[in-house]
Amino acid sequence: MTAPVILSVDDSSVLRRALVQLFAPYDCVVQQAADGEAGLVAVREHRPALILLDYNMPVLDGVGMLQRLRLEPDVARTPVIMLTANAAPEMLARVARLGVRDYVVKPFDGPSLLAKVSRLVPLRQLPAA
Amino acid sequence: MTLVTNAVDDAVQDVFVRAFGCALTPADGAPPPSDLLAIAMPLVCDGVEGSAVLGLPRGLVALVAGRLLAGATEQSLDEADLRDFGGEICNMLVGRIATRFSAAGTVLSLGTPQPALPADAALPAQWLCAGLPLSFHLRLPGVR
Repeated sequence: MTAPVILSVDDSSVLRRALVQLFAPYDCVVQQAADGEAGLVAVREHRPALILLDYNMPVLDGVGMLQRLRLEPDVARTPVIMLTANAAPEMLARVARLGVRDYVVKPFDGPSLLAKVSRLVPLRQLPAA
Repeated sequence: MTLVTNAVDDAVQDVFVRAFGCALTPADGAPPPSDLLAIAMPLVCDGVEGSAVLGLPRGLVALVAGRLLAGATEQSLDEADLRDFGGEICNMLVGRIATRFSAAGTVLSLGTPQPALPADAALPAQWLCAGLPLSFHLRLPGVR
């Protein structure tokens, strides 16, 4: 069985590396993109099982990427968890209307994020090296 | 206490103390650090343009990054990493302020964090965070 791909779209390289570290013990592949435009390219290339999407990014923000993602039939239904520092109700309602399945307030808490991800993607722990 | 003052205080407590587990005490006007990293984030509130400005030493950015990224230290992170994560800390603070403003019926539109001139953030520290000086100011003319 092919390991699921999780795509991290975030302008912070430190945060993306922290996510790679978080998922390292699991049988999955974490791909990375630094903004929404690069994220759309990565979605088409890697067909992720899940996108961990930052809300506030330069070039194309999380909402902009979501709006365009939902217009692409091949990948429109890709599940998304939003990573955001802003949990204002109007923002959460806006991303929920775009099909976001869940959200995490930054900085993420590892166990809590893993629990949310495992509801959407089967995470199998790798044997200890 | 105004909405702005409350929101700033709560955001700093929530990010540095609750999320990153750092001790935070009033700084009583401690001088800005010599290795100051200054980050600004543009904001718009009810048509008023303003900014949030965060000033903190690189050592504090590295310390906080190490709570999220195992093995991260001031030595292992390069200048780009420190600026990147300093911007992320500023984003976390301002995001919480936007949430607080929203609860008060005020919409805060956020830009993305950018490096600021050190002079913009070289103000007396408001807090000592893990013993290191920290300043965070919200500049929104006319908004209290």
